[in-house]
Amino acid sequence: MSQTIKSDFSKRIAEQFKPKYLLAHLVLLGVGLVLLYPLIFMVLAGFFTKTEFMTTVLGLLPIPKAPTWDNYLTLFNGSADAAIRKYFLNSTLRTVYATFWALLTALLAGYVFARLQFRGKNTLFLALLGTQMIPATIALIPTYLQFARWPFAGGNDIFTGGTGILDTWWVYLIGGPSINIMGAFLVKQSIEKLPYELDEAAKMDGAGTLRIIFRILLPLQMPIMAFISITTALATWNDFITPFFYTSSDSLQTLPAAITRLSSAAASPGAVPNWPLIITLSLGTTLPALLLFFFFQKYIVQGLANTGIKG
Amino acid sequence: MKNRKITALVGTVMLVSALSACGGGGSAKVGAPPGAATGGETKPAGETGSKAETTPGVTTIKVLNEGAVAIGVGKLDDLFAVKEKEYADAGVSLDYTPGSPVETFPLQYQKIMSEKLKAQNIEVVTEDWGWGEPLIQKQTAGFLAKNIPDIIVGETQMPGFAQQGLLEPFPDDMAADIRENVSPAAWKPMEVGGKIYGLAAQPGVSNLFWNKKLVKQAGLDPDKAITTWQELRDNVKAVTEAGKGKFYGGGVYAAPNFGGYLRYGALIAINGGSFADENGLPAFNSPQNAETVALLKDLNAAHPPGLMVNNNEGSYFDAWNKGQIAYLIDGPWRVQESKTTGIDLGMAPIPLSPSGKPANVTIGAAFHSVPVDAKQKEAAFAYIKAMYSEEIQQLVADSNTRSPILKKIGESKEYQEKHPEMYLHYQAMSGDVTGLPTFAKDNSKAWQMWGEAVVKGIMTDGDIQGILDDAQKRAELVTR
Repeated sequence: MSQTIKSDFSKRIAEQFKPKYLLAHLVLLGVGLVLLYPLIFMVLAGFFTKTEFMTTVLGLLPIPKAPTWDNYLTLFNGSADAAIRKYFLNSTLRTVYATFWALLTALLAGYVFARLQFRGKNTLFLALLGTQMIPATIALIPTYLQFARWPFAGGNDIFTGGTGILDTWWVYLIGGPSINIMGAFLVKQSIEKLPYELDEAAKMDGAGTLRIIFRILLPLQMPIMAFISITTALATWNDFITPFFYTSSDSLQTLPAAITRLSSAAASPGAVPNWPLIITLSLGTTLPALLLFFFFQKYIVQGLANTGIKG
Repeated sequence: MKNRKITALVGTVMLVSALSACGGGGSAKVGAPPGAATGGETKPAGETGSKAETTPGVTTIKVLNEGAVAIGVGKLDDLFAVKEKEYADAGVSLDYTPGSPVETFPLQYQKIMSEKLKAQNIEVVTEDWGWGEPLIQKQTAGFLAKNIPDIIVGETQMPGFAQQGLLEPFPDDMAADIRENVSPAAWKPMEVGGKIYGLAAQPGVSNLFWNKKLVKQAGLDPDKAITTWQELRDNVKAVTEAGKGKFYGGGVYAAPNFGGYLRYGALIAINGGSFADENGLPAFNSPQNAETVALLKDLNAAHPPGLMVNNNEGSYFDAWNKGQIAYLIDGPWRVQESKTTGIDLGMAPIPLSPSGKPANVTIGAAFHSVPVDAKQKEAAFAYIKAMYSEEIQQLVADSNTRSPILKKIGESKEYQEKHPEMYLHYQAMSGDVTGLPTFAKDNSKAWQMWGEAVVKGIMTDGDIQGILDDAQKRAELVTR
């Protein structure tokens, strides 16, 4: 048996080395290297000192003459300017919360639009989908005003007089995760493909709506849920606009926002940028997202396939 | 029916829990009203007790960070120990005696500011809103929401804010004091309608810098300062030819962004041109501007392809730091930075065109202003006053990165002797210095049209005057 498997494996390997595949593999390898190059560059650049990076004409692979661990130590231990652990914790909490909320709202809203019948359902759903067409940058200032005018919060006398929920955790708790429209759309598509008899059978067994949603339909939505989790987690982890724009206190910053601050401070007059540190911190932000994507990428395809979107 | 009720219930619970979390007891956690004084205690806008504790009986002002003097975010007094430790760990001496070199400029700057303000019962809480476009967006939102710090900081956007009536004019006595004792580069670009709306403690103007090693390799005299545009043209050409693709003549950054406008704006001003007239209407197609763009086109030939108009400013200055371009028109920080990069530096005023006169544009000027919606205006103006105090200005002089703005220090014999290069910069600051103008309408679009026209003039063989005429027509449509 093992002999057969071994022989099949050898055959498959031999097949790959045939000229027609070899060329394809070489092309793919080349493309892979090109795509991987920025990551390799970032890893190596992290070993430079600020001065050496500034004054050296870098080759294709930046190899420092006097390598230093300082930037990586700052990434893990933080420094006076960058309390990395705090930012990391904020990023994690925010990502977990936003992901949980996205799953919950997507499931509930998806169910409502797939199964319930009410007047104006299609119009409402189209309106919700329409909000996805508005570029996020256009919403920045209105959202800022909405947070600043949040009733009775931050010293507001109903709507004015204070700072609302700006520069508080409420920005993340209330403002960040609204209903996940795209998730709701995917769940709706997926539930619509399921026979309604499933719900009816559960009802006959005495199940209520929430039980039907969480016990009957949710287990069948797991690939979609995984897809929503991954995409939401990645988007939240990488989001720098929300913390940068709606908060100011250091204690509320997340990793991408802190890096943006460091970079923009470096761009201000007279400040000499510490690019190796900025690059290392960016690498630190990218890696968790990369790992998440690497290990769970199959769910993205699977999730989309379940909605019938994938051809 | 049952389903509908459940859905409505879930929605209501979510909404109520969200709202109740912010109201009532929640508001106590969220923060006190901005600037509301309770029992002599003044809370900065939006600060919670856990973020920046304030001292009873003391007025607290919120100040936006300027990158060059920033030491962190929060109550200033709480930041000193952390920064001192950081310097000590890096083996940097914390000692500073006025009149001698300073290694810990941002720390000393903030310490002096803190001491001076403490004497007036004022304490400072700093915030970091970034720089450039993100800063402008956040400030715009802050103005709209009337949630704005007591001191805001910025560069090219600040005159526009003043014109829109968003900033408080300096009190008359303070303005008179500034006019008499402070270099015009620090306040002139922020003068609107005869009132001063902002001050930069350490502004810059551009000078010509050159890498002596590269100039020498081209067979030119590295110690001779060039004074005319023609000499600049000749020298960059000679260096480029000598470099044989390894290094180039260089000249000035000219991308279609503020980094470019601020730098070659000095050449425009020298040649008697301008970007806009006194009413904020475009003045793109003057013969003087066309001559300047023609110079830029010649300088472009002395750069690696595409570098001079590369939108990424960092790439351009990277080439300078790495010894790939020989000449550079830029701000005064190059003097100090060259010591880090090991470039043997020459420095001189920017060369003049045949009919030109010395003129300059402020660059790297972090103008500090008090918004009309600031909660602690009096204390905020005290902060600005401290910025041009003798102690702070002596520190700026000792930093050797910028020139002081206080005439008493900048024009002193001691300064001229100790900092001969930076004295050149001080002189440039005292001449005909302006800021970039703000167009009457659709400012960013008008700048975009100018920038694109210049790039077209530089990069194509098209008629420069024709290109500028076309840009002028289009800009007139958006600015009128």
